[in-house]
Amino acid sequence: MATVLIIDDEAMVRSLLRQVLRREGLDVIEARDGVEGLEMFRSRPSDVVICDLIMPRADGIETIAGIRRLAPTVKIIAISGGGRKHAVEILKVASDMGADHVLGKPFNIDQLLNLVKLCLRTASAS
Amino acid sequence: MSGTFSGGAHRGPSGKTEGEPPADRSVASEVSVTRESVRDLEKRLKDLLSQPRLLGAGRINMFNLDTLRDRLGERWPTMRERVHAATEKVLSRHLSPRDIHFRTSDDEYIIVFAVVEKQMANLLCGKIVEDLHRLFFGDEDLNVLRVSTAVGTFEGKLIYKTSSLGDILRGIHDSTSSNTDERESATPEASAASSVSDLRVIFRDYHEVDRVNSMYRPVWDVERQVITTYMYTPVRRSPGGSMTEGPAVFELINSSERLTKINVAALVEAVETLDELYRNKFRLMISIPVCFETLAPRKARLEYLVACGNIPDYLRGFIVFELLRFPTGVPNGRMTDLINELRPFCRWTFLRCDLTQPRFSNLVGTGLTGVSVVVPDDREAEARTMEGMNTFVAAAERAGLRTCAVGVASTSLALAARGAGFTFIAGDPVGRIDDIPQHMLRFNWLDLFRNSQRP
Repeated sequence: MATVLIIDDEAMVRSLLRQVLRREGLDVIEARDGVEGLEMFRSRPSDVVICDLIMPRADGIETIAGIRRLAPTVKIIAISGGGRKHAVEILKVASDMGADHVLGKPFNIDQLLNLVKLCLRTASAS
Repeated sequence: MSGTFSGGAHRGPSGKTEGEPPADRSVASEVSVTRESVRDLEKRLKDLLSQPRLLGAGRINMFNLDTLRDRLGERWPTMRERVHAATEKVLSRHLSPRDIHFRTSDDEYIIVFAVVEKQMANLLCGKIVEDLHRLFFGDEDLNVLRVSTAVGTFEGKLIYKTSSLGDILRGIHDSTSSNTDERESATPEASAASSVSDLRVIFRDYHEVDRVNSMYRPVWDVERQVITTYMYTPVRRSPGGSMTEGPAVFELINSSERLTKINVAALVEAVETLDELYRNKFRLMISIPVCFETLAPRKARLEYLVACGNIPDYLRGFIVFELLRFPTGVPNGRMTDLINELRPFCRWTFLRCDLTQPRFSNLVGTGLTGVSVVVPDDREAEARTMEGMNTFVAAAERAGLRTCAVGVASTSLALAARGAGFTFIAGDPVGRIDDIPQHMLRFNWLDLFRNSQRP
């Protein structure tokens, strides 16, 4: 079973994503910030990482860079930070810093599911 | 503190404000001054040479401006007086009252240090030359900057040993590094980079205890992705060796009169630095702190405004005043009056506020440009800080104010600050405090993340 790691400081977002991804038959693990996310990835590497950008302790960009160092080919989806403004600008940075896909909040859940499926397909193909 | 600026860019003798930086002084007066100086110098040097212990201790040092003169090329004759004026300012900033310095020729200075040891004397000379290069060119190559130490006398003349600043720093680095393998594997680029930072760190440690020194911190305009402004930052070293910077320095000062004097001194120094840089074709804005205690009482305010009146017209568009230590809830009318008095001398005014300040309705229509806030440096409390930033910006925007986050210590807070809507960000990931401000500089998110990865 493929594993997805969700890193987001908003409990509601984690809960929503967990439910949707489990319904698709995926194994889901969660972390509340970048520090926890990196620790979790180290102990249990996943196939896809969904990473928020604006988080305390370690932001999404630092986290993505850290995960890339551990697993250069893992698929990463960056989701916009939940700030009041400027999500698009920050998402572009995530893309430049190594995210495979970016998605601005609020996003359609189907969009996210399609991206996760695309990541899993390309991961298995490669 | 007179509150006037010693650079050439103040009001002329006629009292007329000059629109552009004035020309240099006449050659005739320079010649007579130089002759007097040389006679004085000869006498003082003879006295010095009778003290061989100074030579043994390496306290007589010489530096020359040949590399600076070479880089200026054909501009040297017209720039010479400005270079010497700038040298005097840099010397007065770095030397203690007990040190003595002489200008011995067109491009050469001798310094006799009162107490420092040879190595530190070398470094101080190097730092002075480095500051001058940064003022005039914005960069420095420590390998071409040279300082000389007097090692003996021959027929009444001093004999010097000359070393490049890069070599001196490498010597210090090598002698203090315990890890030989690490040293051997370092690339020349890495070695040079560490030398530049070594120089600044070592030099910072030298600053006199309890003296308020000035440094500048870059401020990033996130919207335009440019470092536009350099924030004058007071720095004070405590007897225990720790450093205090920013408004915390003012909290250590009990007397309102001393605070006013420090504010006026900061204004004078910041404007002189800006003027020197402006004349060297640098374009940047400088933010200058001024305390409530200086602006609220009429007498202190007048003293400050007199100093402001000496800011040349051509620099006023590059100045930002940051109002510090204002109590919350200063009445709208009072605030408007104070801002109106400062506005003719600057481009913008910002008010330093607390992150927990929930609303700014008393600031609406006062003419204030924006509000700034210090972001707490506590990674464990970042979640709470992020919420605070959102509330702060929302309240400021309702009052039509721009926002600046100061002390942003991590990239996560920088991202959160931008997410919250801050227009300006300052903190170590953007740039550390430095002795001399630089040009306006393109700076984007990738630069921010690269900066934060540096040790």
